[in-house]
Amino acid sequence: MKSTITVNSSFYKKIKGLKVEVLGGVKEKLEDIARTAVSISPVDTGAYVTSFSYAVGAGRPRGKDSSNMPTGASEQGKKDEGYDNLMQDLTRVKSLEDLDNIQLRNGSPHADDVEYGEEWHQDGYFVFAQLRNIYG
Amino acid sequence: MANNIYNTIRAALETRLTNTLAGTDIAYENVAFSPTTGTLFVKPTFIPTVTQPATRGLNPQLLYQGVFNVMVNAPEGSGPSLADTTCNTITNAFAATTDVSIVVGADTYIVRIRYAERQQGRIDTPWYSVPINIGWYIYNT
Repeated sequence: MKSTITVNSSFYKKIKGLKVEVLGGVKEKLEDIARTAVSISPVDTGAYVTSFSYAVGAGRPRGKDSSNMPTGASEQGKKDEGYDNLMQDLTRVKSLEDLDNIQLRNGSPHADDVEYGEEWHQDGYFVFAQLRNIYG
Repeated sequence: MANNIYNTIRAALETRLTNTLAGTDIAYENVAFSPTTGTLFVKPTFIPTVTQPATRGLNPQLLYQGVFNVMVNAPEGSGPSLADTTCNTITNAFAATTDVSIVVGADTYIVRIRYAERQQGRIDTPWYSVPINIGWYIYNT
């Protein structure tokens, strides 16, 4: 016995529309995360805050070394640069499939020191811990 | 009471930690502390993140949430087991869905634990440091 079911083509159009809606919603959330990440990050040389990446598929995450970089960088300027970097990464997200494995990373060599403090008596900034708490 | 709620939350979490790790050195925030070389100690940090209305309308109840980080510092070169044991004790005491209560005056406050996550250890000479992030929240006026 066999039966054939015909699916109206409008169904597929609705599914496609839903995917676009969902993708837009997820990208908005990723923009929120990016905004929070740069806003709670410290700025000295700017190496840390400009080293965030949304890793989408292959590619090396950006990471800047603060050695030999001048301190006292423009805080807002560096945060804007860090945010722009992340927005640039998000332009690579074209479909929901691109979000199967997306990671927020910070590739600066001193990222651990920023997170937890450079020595036991120095407090860290707990940037990723806060992000996980707010958005996790 | 809202002005004091963070004091209450901190007290609840630090009291639970103190009672859990009886006999272990604890470096509380902004309290003079000198670690003893070769002796494990922990360093808690209280990190509020978000305060937001829990409901709509006038004078809503507020949701407070944040992180209680506990850095476990074991002597470098002593292997992972000492830090592991302490980490397990802490994550068990603050396991997800645990309620941590504290009585202040006539009121009982309950700080709820959302998660307790142990992170990767790293060498911070002369210590092997393992961070634990404990997510907490509480509803209060």
